[in-house]
Amino acid sequence: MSNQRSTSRDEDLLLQDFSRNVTTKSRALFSGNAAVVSAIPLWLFWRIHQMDFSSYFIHFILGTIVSTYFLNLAYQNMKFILKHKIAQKREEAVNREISKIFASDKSANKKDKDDRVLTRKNEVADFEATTFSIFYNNTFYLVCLLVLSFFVLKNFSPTVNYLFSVALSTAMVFLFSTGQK
Amino acid sequence: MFSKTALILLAFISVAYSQTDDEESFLFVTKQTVNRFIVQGKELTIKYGLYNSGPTTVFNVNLNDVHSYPSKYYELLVGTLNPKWERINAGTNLTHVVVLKPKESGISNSSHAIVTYQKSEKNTEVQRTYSSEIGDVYIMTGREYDRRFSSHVIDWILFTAMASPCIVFPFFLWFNSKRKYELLASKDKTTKKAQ
Repeated sequence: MSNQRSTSRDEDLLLQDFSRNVTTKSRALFSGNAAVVSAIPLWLFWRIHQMDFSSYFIHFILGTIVSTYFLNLAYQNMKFILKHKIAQKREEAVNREISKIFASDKSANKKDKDDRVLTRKNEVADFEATTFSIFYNNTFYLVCLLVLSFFVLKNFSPTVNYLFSVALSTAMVFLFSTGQK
Repeated sequence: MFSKTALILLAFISVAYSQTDDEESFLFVTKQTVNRFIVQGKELTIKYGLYNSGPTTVFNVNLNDVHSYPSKYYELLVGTLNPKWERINAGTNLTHVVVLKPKESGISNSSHAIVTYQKSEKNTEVQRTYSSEIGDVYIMTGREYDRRFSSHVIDWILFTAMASPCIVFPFFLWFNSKRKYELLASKDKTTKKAQ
């Protein structure tokens, strides 16, 4: 009975490890971040390109929604790819960490310890992959957007400038996140 | 026969003399703008130059450019669009400056200014001449001017302040975790080596 329970628990852990699905908390974090990062440049467009909200609000809303959606996907893609790489790297360190904790506890068996290591490794890899993915994608997106909007498309009309810079930088971030192996 | 040729010769000489404009002067008038850009709601400076190129003085010079800048579209700030001068001496020139403020944006055409003057004090016959024209100019809106030219330093600083948490915070979290585990891994490697 307990054997079956622990096997299904192993399977769950494995599934969780290899699944692309993110937890609700992760999803909320990603969505929130994507929305914030998509909304910040609007301020820049308003102040510097003199695009007032009343005449451009449709463009702004559309652009923000599109970039939020694709940024979200980019975060998830990059996190998934990074998680496995990081998990491999951190295996040894996590092992040591758990061993230290278990050194004082004599009653724990190897199985529990291994479970604990696996869970902890997952947690750490998840955390690091999430934070790095957010950091990297945010930076990439903002840099692309700034370069496109203020250097490449500088002399175009504000509408063209906004739509193209948001579309192109979103596309670049998204494609880059899917391209890595 | 001889008198006829003399007469003809005299006629030729007088015509030739009159064509060298010995006794009359002409006024040349230029009209130009000093601005590089013409912006709605910002000052526009128009400079009129009147040049008396001939040997005699001209009198009662009157420049009229009211028709180029109707008060509906331009506000007059400095100067008058209808100045008068009593005389302009031979070989001298003068400039007249008018400062306007365009009220509307778009393409605007300002035509020639009309200058009238008398060639002599006694002869009241008025000679009319036209200035050069500026032609079609594009008056840009204040917003467009701000967009292109103002420095926006404060805007950039505020943007950097808003965007940095999104970048710095995740980086900080990731970096801390990474350092902690790499330290753990490297410490164990060194203790292993020592063993």
